[in-house]
Parts: sequence; C-alpha cells; structure tokens
Amino acid sequence: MAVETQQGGAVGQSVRKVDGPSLVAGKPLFTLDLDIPGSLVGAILPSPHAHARIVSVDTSAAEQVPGVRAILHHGNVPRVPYTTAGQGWPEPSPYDTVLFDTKVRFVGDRVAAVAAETEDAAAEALARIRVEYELLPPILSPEEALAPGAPIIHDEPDAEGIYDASHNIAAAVDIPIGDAAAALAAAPVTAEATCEIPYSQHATIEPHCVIAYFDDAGRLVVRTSTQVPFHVRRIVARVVGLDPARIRVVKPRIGGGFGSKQEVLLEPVAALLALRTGRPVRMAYTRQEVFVASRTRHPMKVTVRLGATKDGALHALEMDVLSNTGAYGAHALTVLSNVGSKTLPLYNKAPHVHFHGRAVYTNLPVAGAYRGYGATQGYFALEVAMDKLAEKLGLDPVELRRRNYIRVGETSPIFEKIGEGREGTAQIVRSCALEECLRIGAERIGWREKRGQRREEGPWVHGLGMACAMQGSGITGVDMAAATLVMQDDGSFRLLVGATDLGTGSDTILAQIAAQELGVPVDRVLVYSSDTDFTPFDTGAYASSTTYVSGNAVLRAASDVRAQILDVAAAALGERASALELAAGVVRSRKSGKSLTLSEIGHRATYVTDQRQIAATASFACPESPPPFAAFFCEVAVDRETGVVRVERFVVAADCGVAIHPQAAEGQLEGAVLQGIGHALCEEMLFSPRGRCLNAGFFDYKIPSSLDAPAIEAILVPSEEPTGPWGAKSISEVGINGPLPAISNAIYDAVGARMVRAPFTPERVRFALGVIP
Amino acid sequence: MTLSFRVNGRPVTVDVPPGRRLLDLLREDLGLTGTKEGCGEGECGACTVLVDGKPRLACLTAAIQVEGRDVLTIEGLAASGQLHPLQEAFLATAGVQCGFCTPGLILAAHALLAENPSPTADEVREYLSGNLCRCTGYEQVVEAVLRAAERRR
Amino acid sequence: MDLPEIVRPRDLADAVRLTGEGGKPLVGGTDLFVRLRKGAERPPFLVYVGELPELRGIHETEGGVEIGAAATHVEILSAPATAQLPILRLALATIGSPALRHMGTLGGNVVNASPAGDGLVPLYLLGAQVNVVGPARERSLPVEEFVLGPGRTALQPGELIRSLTIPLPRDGAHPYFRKVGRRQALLIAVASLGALVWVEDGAVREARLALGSVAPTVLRPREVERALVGRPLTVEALAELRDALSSAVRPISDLRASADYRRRVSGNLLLDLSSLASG
Repeated sequence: MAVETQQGGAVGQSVRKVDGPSLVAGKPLFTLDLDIPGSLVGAILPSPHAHARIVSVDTSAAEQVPGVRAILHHGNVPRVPYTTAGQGWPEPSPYDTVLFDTKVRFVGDRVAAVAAETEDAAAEALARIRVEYELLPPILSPEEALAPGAPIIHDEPDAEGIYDASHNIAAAVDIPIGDAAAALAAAPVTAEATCEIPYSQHATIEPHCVIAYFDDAGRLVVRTSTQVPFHVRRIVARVVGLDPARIRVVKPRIGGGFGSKQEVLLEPVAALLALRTGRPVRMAYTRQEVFVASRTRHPMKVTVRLGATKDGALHALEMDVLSNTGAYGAHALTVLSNVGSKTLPLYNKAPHVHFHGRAVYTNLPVAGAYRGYGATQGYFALEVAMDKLAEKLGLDPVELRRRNYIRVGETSPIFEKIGEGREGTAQIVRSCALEECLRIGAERIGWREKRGQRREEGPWVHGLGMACAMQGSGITGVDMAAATLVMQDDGSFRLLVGATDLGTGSDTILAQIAAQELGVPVDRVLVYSSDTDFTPFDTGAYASSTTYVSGNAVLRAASDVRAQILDVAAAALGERASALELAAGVVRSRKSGKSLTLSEIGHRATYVTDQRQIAATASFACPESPPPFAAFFCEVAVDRETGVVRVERFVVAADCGVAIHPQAAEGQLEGAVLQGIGHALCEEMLFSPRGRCLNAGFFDYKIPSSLDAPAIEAILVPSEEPTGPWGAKSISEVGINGPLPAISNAIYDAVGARMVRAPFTPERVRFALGVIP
Repeated sequence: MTLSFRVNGRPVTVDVPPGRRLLDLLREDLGLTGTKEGCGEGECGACTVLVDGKPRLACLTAAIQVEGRDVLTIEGLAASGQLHPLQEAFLATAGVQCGFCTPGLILAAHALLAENPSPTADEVREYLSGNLCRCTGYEQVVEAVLRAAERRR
Repeated sequence: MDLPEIVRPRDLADAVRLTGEGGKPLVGGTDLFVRLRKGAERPPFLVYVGELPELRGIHETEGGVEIGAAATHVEILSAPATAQLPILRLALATIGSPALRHMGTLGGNVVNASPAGDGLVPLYLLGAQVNVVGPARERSLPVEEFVLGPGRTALQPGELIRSLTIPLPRDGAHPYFRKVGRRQALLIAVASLGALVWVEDGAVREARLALGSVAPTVLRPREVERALVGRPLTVEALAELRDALSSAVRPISDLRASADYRRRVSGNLLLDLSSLASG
C-alpha cells in the first residue's frame, strides 16, 4: 500500500541509519568507549552455591589489598526490596530482591562488590573476601519447587508481591472463558502437544556495562547500556537512597539488548560504589557473568490441547504453562501472561478457552524479558499442536490456519482478560495481512510441490514445515512515550526522544516519522535520544513499542510543530494557514503561489516578529496494541545417521503495517528468525547437579554464525494500521516466534519424529528416530 | 617493555607491561576503542584487527606479538575522513544494527577481499564465520560484502 | 586483564633453556590465553617462540613433509608442500575461524592433546612423527605415542615440539573428514571421523580410520580398518561394520553429548564413507 507522500517522502524509504556512519567508523559511541579519568573498576563476588545462607562476611583481608577503595555487602548496605525487571510503575514483578542479601539463591548470585584502582586489585580483593555459608538444599527444577515440603527459596519476610512464597510460586494466572474441558471432551477431533524450552540466552555481543561518575555540579551520571533509562533512574534512586533529581541516566549506543538490558543489574551497584568512594566507577560483566548473572529466557513446559469440528473450526483451546523464573521473579508474571495473551487471540473463533499457568522459583539463574516474551514459548506448543490437528483432520496445515485466524474487525476475549500482569484492554484488529503472508510464504517455499515428498539425498531427508504468529505493539495501559521537537532558526529540527535505540534503528525511524510530517529530508532532523536530563520520558525499548508508541508521540509533536510553522508563515504572508502547504522545505500558498523557506520562517520566529520558539512536546499512551502477523515456512534436511538437522531455507512473510524503514524491518525479521533457529537447533544452558552453569560462554554455548545461518527470505507484506504512525505497527519480536514450531513441524514432515523439546540437537533427533534398519 | 609497531599506518612506540593484551593496548593505551571486547576468549570476533593484513583476535594476542608489525584497526579504514567502500556498503545494505560487532566484521571482510576480490556468498559466509552478530540474520552483512566487492571491480 | 610476563628467546637453545626454567612456550595463543584467563594454568612466564626460524617453515623431505611447530594453519593450508596431503587440508580447513586459523598452529593442536583436536585426526591417519627438542637431546616419536590422554603428552619438562614430520600416503587414497556437532563454525565436534581409503576394482584395498571426541585420544579402530578390506563402499557393506566401530570407541558423556550417542553416531558415520564411492 503506498503511503501518501505529499510531504517529505521519508516514510517507506530505507534511508541511511542516522548513527550508521559513526558506527561503521568505530567511533567511541558505546558505554565503555568513554574514558573517565580516575575511574575505579567495580567487580562482583558471585555465590559459589545454589542455595545457602550467608553466616558471615569477613572483608578484613580484602581491605588490605593495595588499591581497594570500597567493599559492599549485606552488612554495610541498606536492605531495600526491589525488582531488577526494569518495568513501569507500579511494577508488576515481585519485590523479592535486595542489593546484597543474607541468602544466596543461585550460583552467581551477588554476595559482595568491590571498587579498586585496577582490575587486578579488584580481582585480588574478591579472592580475599571470606564468606561462611550454611548450605541449603538446592531446587533445580520447577517440579522439585512444587513438590510438597520443598525448601522455600523466598522465606525473607520483607518480600512483596510474591504469589505464594511458601510454595515457591512467584506468579500464577488462571483465565477460563467458557468451558474448555467440557468442549474438549465433546470435540470430534482433538490434538495435544507439550513442548519444552530450556534456559537460553540473549547473547548480546556487548556485555552489560556501566560507568557511574559525578558531573560538575556533583550529580551522579549513570552512563549505561540499558533499554530503559528512565526506569533505571527511578529504580537506582530508590535502591541506593538518592534523590532522583540528583541522578542523570545516559544511554549511549548499546551493543544489542533483546530484553536482557531491560534489567537493572549493574547500575545500582556502580552507583553505590561511586557514592561510597566519591570516584567514577566502571563495571562490566564478563561473558561468563552475562550468561549466569544477567538474564535468560524463561524455561517453560507448555501444554496445548485443541478441540475442533471435523471441518477444522477450532472450538476449544487449552493452554497450561509451567514457567521457571529462576531465583528471582523478574518478569515472572508478565512473561507468563504473555504466553497466552499473545498467542490465543490468533485463533479467536474458539468459544471455549482456558489459560492456566504458574511461574515458580528455582535455584537457577534468573529469567527475564527476552524477545518474544513468553509468546515464543507459547507458539512452540500451539503451532506444533496445530500441525498435529491438521494431520488428524487430513487438512493442509496452511488451510487449518486459514480457517481459524483472526480477521480485521474481529476481537478476542483474551485481549481484555489478560494484560501485563493484570486485566488487559479490549481491542479489535484493525489491520491484518496474514492471508497474504500465508499465500506468499507458501509459494516461495514451494509448499505444494515439496511438502510430504521426503526427498532423499544420501542419508539426508528433506521436509517442510510452517507456523504462524502474532505479537503486539507496546503494552496497553502501561506504555507512554514523549517527544520534543524543536525548530531551529535555520529551519532544521532537533528531535528529543526518551525512546531507546538498541540497534534496531529507532532513532532513524523516529526521524523519518517526523521528517514525513514536516516535509523535509531525514538529515534535517537531528535526533538526540535517551538522556533523562535532556529528553522527555519514554518507558523504554521493550514490548515491540518504539515505532508504534514513541512513533505516535513523534508524529503528534511533528503535527503540532507543523501547525506552528504554518501559523508563522500565514502571518508573514498575510494569508490563512489553511491555504498553505508545506513540502520540500518550503511553505507555499495554494492561493497566491507565494512562498517562504523553513529557514526564512525560522529566522522570522526567532529574531524578527512575534518572536517565539517553534517547538512542541507531545506524548502518546498506548490505548491498544495492534498485532503484527507473520507466517513462517522452512525446508530442513535431516541426517538419519547422525540426527543433524540443517535448515536449508527459511521464508518469513510478515505484516508490520507500513514499514517506515523497510530494510530495518527486514533486518529485525531476519535477526529474530535466526535467534529462533538458534533456539531450535543449538542453544541451551546446561547445569551441574549442584546448579552451576556448565557452558557459560560462547565456547560451549553456540549461537548461530554466518555459516549456520540458512538463506533467510524476509518478505514484508504491507497493511495499513489506522492507529499507527503513518500506518506502522511493530516488527522486532514477532519473527522469533515461528522458527521453533516451523522447524519441528518440518522435521516431522521429513522423518516422522515430533521434536517437542528444544533444542533439536543431533542427539535428540537421532534418538527420536529410533533404530534404523 | 618498550614496543614499536605501526598502527593504521602510523609508527608508534609504547611502554607497556610485558603481559599486555593487544586489545587493552589498543583500547586503553592508544584510545582506539573501535576494537571491541565481546567475550575475551576468541569466540565472538568483535576484537578482530588485521596484523600485516591478516585477521587476528586482539583478545588472544599479546602486545609482544605485533612488535615490528603493521596493525590495522577500524579507525584506520576511514583515516582520510572518507568512508571505505566496505563501510559504505554496510550502511547501504543495513548490515549494521547495533554496530558492536561491525568493526570486527568489516575488518574480517577487508582481509577476505584482499585474499579473494570476488568471493561468492558462501565464501563470505565461511570467512565471516568467526564474527558473531546477534542482531542481523547475516543476510544484510553478506550482501554488504558482496556489494563492496562488486564496487571495487 | 594482563597476561603473565612474556619473554622473547634469542634462538632455539635459549627457548629450550627458558622452557626448562618453567616458562610456557607461546605461539598462537589461541588456546593458551583462554586457559590463562580461566586460571586453568598459571605459568610463571611465557616464552614467545612464534618467530624462531627453527620452528617455522613447511618443506618437503624424503617421502614426506616437515611442518614447523610454529607454522599456522593458514600457512600449512597454503603451502605447496601440503598439496599432497589433502586429508590434512580437509581437516585443518574446519578448524576455528579464519582469524583463528591465522593464529593457531598444528604444533599447538598436538601439545593440547585434545581428543576433539581436528588437526590430530589427519596426523593419526598419516602416521605423523613428533620431533621434540629438549635440554639434553632431540627425539622423535609417533603422534600416537606422543599423545597420552586428554591434555597429556609425552613432553618432558624443558622440552618443546620443534616440528612434525608427515609421511606421504601411497597414491590413490580417497580422503574423508566430517565432524558432527551443533554448529558449523568454531565447532567442537561431538564426534568426528577422518579416513583414507584406497579402492581397487570396486573394493576397499586399504582403509585407515581415525575418530575424534569418542575416546580419551584420537582413536584408530584398526580391527575395523582391517575388516573393511575387500568390501565394496556401499551402505549395506559398511552397515555390517557399524556395530564393530561403535564398540571400538570409548566415549564419555559430557555437556556436548552422551556416550551413548557418540557410540551410535561413530558407527553411523561409517556409512557416510559410501559417499567416497561416487566421489
């Protein structure tokens, strides 16, 4: 669909990324590229035990290490329960964390922190801290956590918001609509799948890092690799007991996030070390720490039961979730909710739906936000179950989806029933091009010709699989973004946004949205983002929100500024504003043909007549969350001898409304799909019987390289979202939801083995195949 | 320990501890922060630099190993202020998302094109296999390298 | 994070002396620096032998190729002398990534004595000799005797590897190398199989097999090698030896795979040799 581009024509163009030239030149843009003279190095002492009480901490030997400037531990840091989740206020995650506790709950939990003149001195000091532990029995699986008489992981009296601490249940959700059990029992055809996803990692290439220092006025500046600068400011202030007005949080360029940098992890520690020493402090996780002490995807076991009529109309959907939130409940409730809320509305026709889930504590690393945010886990089970149902019905899996997916003008009760840890918001779907996505995807992969053929090539057997998914665009009733747009005397613009570009290109996209409205090229809009001193509020980059939520705020600000420009021009030209049009940097009268350049208008307003700053601040709160849709198709080859699975081709067709920057949208899709392929084929954190992570590093935890990545064909199928800025909705997450089920379904098509436990390693596939004659 | 070598065409002599890593020498002693540390154990490729034109991982290289040699970092590619064709190509294809792995990818690609001016897509994928990128699906990265190769012809 | 002190020896004799004083020889650093970082090894100082002329160079000898211990994988892959050793090139080309192949050495692979060492598989197939220099004498021993177990070698204190001598195999060998794992690049194999097979009149005349990651060292299953003689390279004929190969290996379970899978996949990899018949 062509966008009306009577103005700038910026939208829909893959313009050069605004921060691109500096990035490719290797300029010092990232957190640790800045050299703050006199910085101390901060480091953290991790727990060697999965579950233990700290009897004593003796820092006397560590204090003697030359160069040590501060040591923090539970004995000298005030106890403030909080959550690291980095969400809006009031926070939906339980306050079950303190900076330094008297108990450790996983191998890698924070015991103490040190600031020293050098890295070596910090390491030496950590080695000399003597901690006496009283070991407690560790809980290493959700099943153990729920067993009667299980040790209680969160027995501290001051935790708040835990669903049922005495049974290790961090969060629980139960949403019955109709009577799913009865409907399933009565359904002519049923199918069921239980799928499991293990611990896996975001694996941003830049580890979490921060520098805390003092500005000339003595205020604390926290320069950090974060997705949520405003939440960081609020949370750090509370946890370290500092007036928020004395804290400035700056997000420079960040080296990937995918949810892991929504967590507020190092910032309060660095801030406290800086406050205690009066010196700048820099901290960075090692790669091993990123694996163990940052965050992971929530491991889950999801069971889906489907009941359908003989012609494939879904009548009942049941989804049962057991989520492992690890030692702390960051995002426990909201990720759990999303398993249902982002999946079940896709098949909205079933009158009977039951979503039930629990998120439980274990003595393993802490799960958090990760691209897909529960939907990825939900779609794995849902779409494998749909494949099974299609087989039972003797129906093409594409056709089964066609008969059931949500159409424009329709709604699902789930939208209203499940929100982010509370009730959601009713909404209807206003844009959906899934039909076209299915058609194009099937055609590209050769669905009709190749599926069910089991083509052989030596030991390799080929198969095809598919899946569908949707996501949202921001969180209804929670997300809010603001933008300030200022016109300068020369007719160029400054755009100040709290939105957080974590590599997605959102700075560029927001500039495009403004440029389109203002009728100027993108390079006339200078973007400055994510600085709590200088940019207006934004909840941050998560939940696929930036293009839609922040983009709408930018568009509102730009409309306001545009109106002001026309007013100034109208006065100057002696005409009515309604007779004027703004395009290509010029305001022209349709009536008289007279014109003024933006520079002339800027000069007039700044220096000459009726002087004023042409500027506007606008905000946008998310009233609904339009879902992007995607259809995934892949071809795999399975080696029957070794169980190795090769993804030969992957086709994803997605509807993100109008793509503001098509190349960036394709990049989001391709990247999300490849992360999903990693989940499907190789990624899994492994633990010892005492809860120690055995593969905390890229040596043994493999993420896909360029050699592993198949040809990924990303196709943008346009629709126009009426509530989106220039018709846009989100794209960053939806792509990760498809690879797990699509690949599992393709393996089934090839060799008849249902892979329901990720990753589908050669060993698991080989054993699923049984003995080969 | 006094060490002399060339960085980005410029001779430098530095006094460093005898166990200095090349990565720290570049980032901390010489302020060349375009070289990134992603893992510190040779598995991610973010610290790739060229030594005598060949790719090396600065996290697994001791400073002493570049004595008398020619080191090229990302800062040296556009030293004249003009972006290198590879840098232009990464911009043109959106091969840059967060940009953290980009300096290493571009330098690895630079070494590839010096060895093989007309690589196939598969050869590009093979050569860049030690440079992990978590943002892209590598499609736009491979396209960038092929495009730069084409432009040079 | 700084490394231990690194010294540069004047010549090979100096390197031997410094090694005798407890110094750890350093060439590529691709494995050593990782172990140092993890604290798995704490040598008092390192001896940078990477630029000693005595350890460099790749040249043809009477009936073979001699490869200096400090020759990098890329140098070996591109040396004209190794054109006669396609199995060596096949295996080395799968190691690490281009940067790691520019840094790492075959000598380093041998010293590490990893059962998963990709570079070791062809050395076992070709019957390579390890030439060792020490304070008292030089000696030479077959790679199978040099490697004692995971990370253990016959190297005595003060000794270092000078070079490897690889005899050329008889003409006509079909080379085969494949590793199985979760990923393609920088792969630590859960099992690998290398082979040299001579075929005459549709039947195997001689076969050498070497498996990686399925025993404490790279393994030559000699009974299976002998049993292959006289058979055609068909899936059916190979399948008859599958169980024999599975029982010849002595795998462990670790985080990459179970012993059971390794045993089974070793046998199954054998079937893949049928691809040599067509190729």
